[in-house]
Amino acid sequence: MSDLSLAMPVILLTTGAIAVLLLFSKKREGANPYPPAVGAATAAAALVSLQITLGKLTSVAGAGSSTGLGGFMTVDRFGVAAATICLVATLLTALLATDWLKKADANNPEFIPVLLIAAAGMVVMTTTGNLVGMFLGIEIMSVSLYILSAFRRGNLRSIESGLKYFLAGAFASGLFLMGIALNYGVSGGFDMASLATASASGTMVSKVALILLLCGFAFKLSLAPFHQWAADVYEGAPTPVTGFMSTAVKVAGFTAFTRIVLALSGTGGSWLSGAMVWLALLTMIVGNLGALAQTSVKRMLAYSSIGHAGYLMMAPIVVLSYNAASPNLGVESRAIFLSTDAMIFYLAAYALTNLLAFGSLAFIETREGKGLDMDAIGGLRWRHPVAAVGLLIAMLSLAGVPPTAGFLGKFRLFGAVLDRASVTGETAFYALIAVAVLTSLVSLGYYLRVIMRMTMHEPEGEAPVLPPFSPAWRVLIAVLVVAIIVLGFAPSFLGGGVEGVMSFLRTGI
Amino acid sequence: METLLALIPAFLLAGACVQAMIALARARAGHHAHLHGADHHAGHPGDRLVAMLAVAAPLASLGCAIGVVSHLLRGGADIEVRLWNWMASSAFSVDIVFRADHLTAVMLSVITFIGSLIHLYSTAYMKGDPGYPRYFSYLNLFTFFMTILVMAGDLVLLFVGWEGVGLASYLLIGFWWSDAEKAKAGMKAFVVNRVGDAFFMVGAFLLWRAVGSLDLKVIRGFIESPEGAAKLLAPAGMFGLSLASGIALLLFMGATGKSAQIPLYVWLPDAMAGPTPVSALIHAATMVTAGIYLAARLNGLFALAPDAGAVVLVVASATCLLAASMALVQTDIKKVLAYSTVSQLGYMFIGVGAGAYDAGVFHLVTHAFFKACLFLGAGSVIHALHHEQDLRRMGGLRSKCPTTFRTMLIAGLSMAGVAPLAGFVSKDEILWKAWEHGGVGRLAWLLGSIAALCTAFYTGRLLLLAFGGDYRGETPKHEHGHGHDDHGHHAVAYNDIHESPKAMTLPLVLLALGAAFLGFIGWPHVLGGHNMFGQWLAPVMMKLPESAKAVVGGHAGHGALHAEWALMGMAVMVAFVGLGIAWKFYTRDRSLPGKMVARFPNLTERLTSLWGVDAFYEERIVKPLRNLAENTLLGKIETGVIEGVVNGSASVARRLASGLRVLQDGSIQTYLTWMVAGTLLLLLLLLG
Amino acid sequence: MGPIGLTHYLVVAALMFALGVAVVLTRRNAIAVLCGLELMLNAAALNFVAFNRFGSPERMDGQVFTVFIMTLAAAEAATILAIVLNIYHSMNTVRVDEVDSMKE
Repeated sequence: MSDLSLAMPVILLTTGAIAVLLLFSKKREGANPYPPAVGAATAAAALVSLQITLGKLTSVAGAGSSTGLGGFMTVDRFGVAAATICLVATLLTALLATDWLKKADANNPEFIPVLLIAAAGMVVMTTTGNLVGMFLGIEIMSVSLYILSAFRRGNLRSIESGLKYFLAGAFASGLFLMGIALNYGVSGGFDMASLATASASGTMVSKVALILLLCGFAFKLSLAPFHQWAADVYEGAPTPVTGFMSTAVKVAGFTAFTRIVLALSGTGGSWLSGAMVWLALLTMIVGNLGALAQTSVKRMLAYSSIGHAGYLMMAPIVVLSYNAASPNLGVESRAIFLSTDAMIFYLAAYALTNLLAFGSLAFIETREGKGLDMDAIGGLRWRHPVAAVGLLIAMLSLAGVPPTAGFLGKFRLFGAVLDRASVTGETAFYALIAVAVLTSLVSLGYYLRVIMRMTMHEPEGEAPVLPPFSPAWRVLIAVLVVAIIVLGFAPSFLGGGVEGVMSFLRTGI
Repeated sequence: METLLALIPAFLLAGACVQAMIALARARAGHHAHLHGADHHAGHPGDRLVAMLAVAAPLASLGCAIGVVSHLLRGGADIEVRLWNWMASSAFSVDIVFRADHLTAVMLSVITFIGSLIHLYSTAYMKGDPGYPRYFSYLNLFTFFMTILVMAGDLVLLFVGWEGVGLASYLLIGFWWSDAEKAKAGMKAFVVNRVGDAFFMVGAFLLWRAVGSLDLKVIRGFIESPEGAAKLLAPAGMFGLSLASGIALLLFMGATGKSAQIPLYVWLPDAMAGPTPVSALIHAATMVTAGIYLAARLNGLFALAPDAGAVVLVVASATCLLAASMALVQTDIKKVLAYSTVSQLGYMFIGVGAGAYDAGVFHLVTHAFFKACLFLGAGSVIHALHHEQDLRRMGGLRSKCPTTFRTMLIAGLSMAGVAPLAGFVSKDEILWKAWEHGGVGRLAWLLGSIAALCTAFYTGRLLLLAFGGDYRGETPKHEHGHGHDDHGHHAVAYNDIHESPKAMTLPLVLLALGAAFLGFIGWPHVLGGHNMFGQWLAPVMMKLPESAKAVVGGHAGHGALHAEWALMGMAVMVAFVGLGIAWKFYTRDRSLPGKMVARFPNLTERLTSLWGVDAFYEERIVKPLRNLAENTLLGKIETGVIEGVVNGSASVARRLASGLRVLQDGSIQTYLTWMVAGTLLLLLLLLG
Repeated sequence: MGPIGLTHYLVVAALMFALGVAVVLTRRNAIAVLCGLELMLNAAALNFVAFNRFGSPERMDGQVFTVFIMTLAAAEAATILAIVLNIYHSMNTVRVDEVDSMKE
């Protein structure tokens, strides 16, 4: 496969970004619907090119992945699936932000280009098998997101969010970079195989390198105790940006992290798993208890996303438990397959759900000009039935109630871990499952509170006169609602989508 | 035939969607109407169409269900519809598959028939409610999920129905959302059910681990094979239980949530905050019986687990008695019926525990009829009295609501166990099977029989207080409990009380007929019948391999004929004694208070009022029992979680937030310090 | 004291890294914190160059990566300066500890 076709999604995204900058950079009064439209079209084009790449990949018999650009890009189904979710999230964010962008202090044309550049970074992150590529992808994405977080320049919270995100992110980059440097010192390379070499060497330096990499990712994935920035940043950032950050960034981050763990599994990297288990447990607990304590819907969702990161972390833990010395390698590789498969599905479900939630919230915010406290959504059912339905489905899916996508995600992910628990009999897996199930029950508390508030309390006093709904927005919410239910009930209807993508993962193992 | 089966849920789903769209469209238009002070109680001009559509959906499903049942009645093979692949991976694959066998046919008939009647009833009961289409949207949705639950050919799909009915129930309980009390009730139901569901899921996972599939047919094949049974009988390493016992217990714990058994029964009485037809459909006839259905569906698994069966017997009989004793003193007509439902569900689980799954399902069917009838009758009374639910403010309704009275009388006598009504036949069958089971079964029989005495008493009490004596609603009211609709209930003058409209009485009559005569389909051998119902369900019962039977041990065999006669005689006597005591307390007592006061001065206070007995029971029996139930760990967790959820933003949130402040003080450098600390800790842990 | 070898570079880099972390954690001025971050990045860059020189001098990959790091540092500086300017504009301060409106 040619280098150019592998890099095509990235090329398209950056071209789109530059085009929007050149065409619409003149700030003008009133709404400008074109940048979001061009942005969405660009994301769609990138999606198509990605699927074409995938098609070429499957047509080559026996080839699971294709490497190009001097080893810089490794395209396999795992990466393509993750990149697809990221691009769908980008597309939806561009569309959902249309309404929000009309606001006076957000009406800058740079939003969409920066969003597209962030997406390009994510595509690099997910489709690279090289630590340099991964690092560059992370940084392209992160720097764009720092800008997006601080996008409302006149809004204190937005700037504060940008500052905190930057400082925490740059600090984590420092750790991550040091990790790559030490790994390079031990193994003399940047590809995934170098990680395995270093890990197999078992030297002190290689261990420090891996721990630093783990810490860098723990920050990106907002695992406790590296999570505190997330709550503040998610709360302060513009609502559509929060939606984007809490979904696409997680997808890219978990994919990249799982790639590293895949390289380590079976090569003596299992000493890391204890630490990862603790991180996961702590994250589930802190995220869910934190969410229970919130009175702002947006901040509650921030904590909830931390909790979900804790659940997702179980997948890499299972991957790391791969035992190359096992007499039954079929069972071992099945565990890897099951968990990564479940992780990608969970991420897809979570991305759609959270985008729906934040899309609805962004709408409420722009329409009513209030904050997103619990009180702000009181009686929502009467004021914005469509937004209320959107939020209702989103909450149910986040809580994992069937027949939503969130249920199926939890079902598969927890199932994969339980499967592993029963094979290995390790208490760590049982502990993970127990805490995951318990915290899921706790999470019902705060998700249901949202439903209760928006359906129970009649708005106090005279309800404000509302601007009319935009039909496009309503269609978008409806599409998301249907998608979440279809993904929960009949994912196979998505044809060659997520499900098909998942039928393969690293045949070598 | 396959199409017919698939159409059953399809009609209901379509109905739910259409109603939801109408509701959404109206919500937008209605918001402005609300602002301009439009009168909600006038109803909406489109309500007639909504009502017709609402009834059409379950009726169409009923038609399909009749087709399916008649196919099976003619001896047709089980029907299977495989719709599409739900999830597939190398380790497991789940299809959306529906199956209809004899058990499903029974459940489908009950759900669609009673469902249709209750939709019809609701069209009149909910008339003028501003949320008319929303109500029917939920009700259709509920029926849809219920059919999914019983048609599911796969445990995962069954779970979807299981959760779906819980969701619809949550929406319907909180339908009016007018006050925190009701919202809380809905929330409580949802949360308690989810606690049960967690057990369900773990049980299902273990089953999947053992069988390698969650397809019910595959599971059945597995249990019926000697190797499979042996695998299930192997010790699971949990408290010395076999794998089958472990799974059965977990599933039963899941069922205690949905089917309101100890310790998770607490949500059901509160669920009465919803509209009364909802209570009839969801909290009496269908959803709460899902646990029984599950057990009957997996009967082979429970048969492999006699120790789990013993636990089921103990829990079920305790629930049965506890709930029946609580029903004795309730003053809210719906609460009486709610506790009664918990108690009757206990009977069904006694059947399950004793291995008489067909008897349990049979009681499920008869209960669906008599309890739905009682609830709808209660709804009719409440309707006639303009949302008065307090038994103390009723009375003398016999001549005012004759149809309601007659139908409720039949259903009540059926529940009280008066031969030969349906309730007698099915309850007697269960108690006989429990006796025959021996061991713990005898205890269950004893508790169940005492509960039967209570049942007869509170049924008599309810009927006498509501319909007998003089109307007490005109007297100025004093203190009141919770649980009333906030539609504002003014005392209704006796002469203004009217019987409910046809749409409400017709379902009552049909249900009362069922409550009276359904017993004949399961008429026992000892009375010269053939127990056709048991024979009908025979193909559903799994046949354990001989090797497994040897381990588990068979039943004690058939008990002596004279014993069955004797027990039956006792049961009849118990029913009459209970009713007689009620008669004495609530009709005769009223003429004798003077004498009683003179003889027992210390009882004066209690007997001067008609309901002194209530306070006595409340103080001496109910409170200790309730304390016992609610002060257990689960009870405490439950109340804690509910409080946390409902009042969370106020108290729990603040407490948690103060804890969080240590971690989260708003300064980025604190966060960075935590990150450094985390990194150092990891370095120390992993390198040290 | 022999010739300057890999270890010397690594020690210097480690010191730089630790100093960078200390600066980030203790200084309140946003610009100073940025300097600390740059120190951390440069420590890593120094490592890359040193490992490349002493490990596999025939390849240039470590040194090329350093160029990427420099680019990144420039991009980060531009971003943070813009954000700090905005903060100064609306809060009249550049102290990071005073930016704490969101907590708990």
